[in-house]
Amino acid sequence: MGRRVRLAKVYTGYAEGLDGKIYEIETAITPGIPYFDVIGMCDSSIRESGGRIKAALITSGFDFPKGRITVSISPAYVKKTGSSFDLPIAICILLASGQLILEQGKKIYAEGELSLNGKVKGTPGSSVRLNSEQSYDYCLIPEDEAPCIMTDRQFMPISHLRNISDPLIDVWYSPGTGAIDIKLQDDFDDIPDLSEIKGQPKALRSVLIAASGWHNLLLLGSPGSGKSSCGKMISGIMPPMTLQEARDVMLINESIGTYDNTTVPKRPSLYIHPGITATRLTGSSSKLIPGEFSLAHQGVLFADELCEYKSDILDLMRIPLEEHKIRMVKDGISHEFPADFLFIGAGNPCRCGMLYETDEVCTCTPAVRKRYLGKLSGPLLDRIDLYCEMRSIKGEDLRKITQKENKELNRSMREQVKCAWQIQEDRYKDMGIRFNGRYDGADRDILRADQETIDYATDVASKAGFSARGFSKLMRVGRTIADLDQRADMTVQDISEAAVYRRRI
Amino acid sequence: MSDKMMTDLEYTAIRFNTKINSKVISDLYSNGAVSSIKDLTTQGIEKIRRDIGEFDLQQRTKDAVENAFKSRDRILEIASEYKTACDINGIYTVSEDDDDYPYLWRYISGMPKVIFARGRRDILDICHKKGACSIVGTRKPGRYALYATEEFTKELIKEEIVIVSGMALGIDRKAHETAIANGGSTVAFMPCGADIIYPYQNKDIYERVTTDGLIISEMPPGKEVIKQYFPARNRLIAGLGDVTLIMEAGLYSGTLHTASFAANQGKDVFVLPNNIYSDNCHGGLLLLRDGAEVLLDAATVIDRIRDNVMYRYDVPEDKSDDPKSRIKDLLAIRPMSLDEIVAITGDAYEHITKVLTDLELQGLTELKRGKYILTIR
Repeated sequence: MGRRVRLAKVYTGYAEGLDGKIYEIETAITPGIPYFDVIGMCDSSIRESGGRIKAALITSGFDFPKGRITVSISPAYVKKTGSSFDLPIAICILLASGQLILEQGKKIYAEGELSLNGKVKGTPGSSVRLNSEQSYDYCLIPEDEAPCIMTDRQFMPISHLRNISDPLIDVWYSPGTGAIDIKLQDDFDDIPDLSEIKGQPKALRSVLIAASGWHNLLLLGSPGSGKSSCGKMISGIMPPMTLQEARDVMLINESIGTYDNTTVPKRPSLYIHPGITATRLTGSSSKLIPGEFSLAHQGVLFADELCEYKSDILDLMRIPLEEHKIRMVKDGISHEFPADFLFIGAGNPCRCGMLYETDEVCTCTPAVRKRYLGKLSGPLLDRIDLYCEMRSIKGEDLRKITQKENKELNRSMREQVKCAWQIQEDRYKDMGIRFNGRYDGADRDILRADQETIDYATDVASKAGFSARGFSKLMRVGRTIADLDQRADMTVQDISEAAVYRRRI
Repeated sequence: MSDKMMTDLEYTAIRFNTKINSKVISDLYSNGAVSSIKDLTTQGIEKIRRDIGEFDLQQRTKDAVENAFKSRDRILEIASEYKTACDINGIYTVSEDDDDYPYLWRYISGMPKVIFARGRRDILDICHKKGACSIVGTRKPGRYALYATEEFTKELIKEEIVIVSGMALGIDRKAHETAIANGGSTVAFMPCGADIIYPYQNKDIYERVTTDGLIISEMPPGKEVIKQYFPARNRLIAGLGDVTLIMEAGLYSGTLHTASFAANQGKDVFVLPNNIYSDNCHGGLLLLRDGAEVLLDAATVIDRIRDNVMYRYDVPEDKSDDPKSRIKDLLAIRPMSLDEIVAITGDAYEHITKVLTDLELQGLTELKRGKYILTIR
């Protein structure tokens, strides 16, 4: 143990929201009373790492150097947390103490948590951390991490500190390609079949249109009429996710640790209820954790009992429905989370819920009814393209519930939806959007409507008192109906059907 | 066509030359012995006579049938005479089996089942689609009534409304004359055969109406004028118009018959307010006192006719084939949701949404409490 200061540097990544940042870890071993210190605005999870690292190094057969060890993580002005710094700090100590030798000018990257016996464990957020263009000569990541978006980077999966078997890195470093196979769903039938919804063709049809054109849908109806089933089953008629969609979904889920590399990603179908908190919904801006809005990205967000939500929560829904993303500000820096989901709302049409029943059983007074639905503000309802009412079924249809029919409705509808998606992707390929429901206009050349259709739509819009937004909504829903039939040009028939789902509350 | 015409002619021959009168016919209809005028030909009579035991007919009816059966040769002879007269004068028959048989007559009792017409047959269709207005009045009108007739006729013609009158002198003549001169459609009901010019002073108008308008009579061709027949003719005038305009009427005028027929048929009667110091105007003024509407402007009349036309236009189509009226009929029973309508009619979903949206656009239905209802008007 000499008198000179020994220094080493290791690179590691850090996930800030969905942005991957590169951090440098420097270690200095100076003579003095043995002491371990981590500096650079670290929280206790990082400062505690000293204990883990010391135990892990010793149990793996390395020496823990004597002297004053100072670990600095830079940039030092950002608050940091998490245990993914363990492995880079350990390697840094090995380099500084000469137990590992790095050639001059070469860079090494590492991340991962250590257990006391030297095992290397993955931490959430690797996809985000590794999502940068920087290249390294050596790259070590825990074996059980699932970086779903790495494509062509070389790295070595490492499961134990003992894998570092020689001071010369090249002796044991055996990189593989970084591409991890994302298993894509091919066909699935784990979602209940829509054929269980009996006697409600309008609801079925509106669910199909919603899924095809990515149109937000509001279902109003009596308790027990099947609203929740519709909301939960709608993801069953959407095609399996594409690679890009799967990556988007995995990126968000991996960052909070709910996905590993063995999971087959499924299209999200989230269910939220009136008791949900604002933080849970939008995500935590202090910790940069995505909320339900972002977790539902590329999938379905189903809000049950919409009229029972507090109005401030309902107000929060407006932003992702308008912008399809969520912005969070932490330490003065704005972070964006994607939140492009299909919104399905369900609720009772009045306080007692029986307004739409065939027999006049609703006991609400008009004033109560008005107040009840009045909670759903105009701006929120403006973002909803389809409105459908449901009622409890009777007689013959009720009997049919007990019979299991062929469960092929989902599959055939999925096929229809897939074709409609294909058509729409071709249509909007130059515009950066995918679906009719995301198109923000009514250009007749893009929607391909002839004069007669436009005249008819204008007639509907003026008689129903639509705004310009309402008119373009009508046109877009009509377009989706035409896409479902795989027709290039819209017809009056499409508009007349679209008008059936217009807003009336 | 000619078979159909022969049927009509035989019916007319039977109707005017045997004891089979309106009472007998209604007895036959109510007992199911006949269902259409097609059954009232010489052959039809033979059939009725053969099956006469099957029906519970009055003695008078049985006698009339027997009588008609005996004179069937004579009937055929007369029918062929009619046929010759029709061919010479370009007269054709319109019966209740025809599509263009006046729509309103199907709903009024006592209207002829066969009429003889001469001129533009398409006017009957215009009557149905655009409406018709009866304009009647005295044979010796004042200048004021004549002026008003001319003005109102012009206004109505602009809306393509058919002017209906009786080819008499005075107001009738003015109405036909103005309609033809302004390129409008007009119908003249004759109190005699359609080939007879009556009154002869109106020969010029008669000829112009023959080419540019339509002449109708329920009398077979060649039938001379009978004074007693004038009121019956007036009921046809009132029956074809959606509203009736009384321009000027004396206390004992035939025009008053037209007015009372119109009122009995449920038509609106408008009376031109006229000079209270002229005796020739008192009939009309008394109608006003009795509650007839005051004829103030053409717009009111046109609106009323349009209302009538709008109301009737979706009814005459065959109900079973027209999804709109079928759905309207369903909704008349009780409010129904889209799902129920689909389940009951069994039609394609897309089809029903189209119909419902169209009905909504027309303001005929609306969605209330999640169900479609008929709009209360």
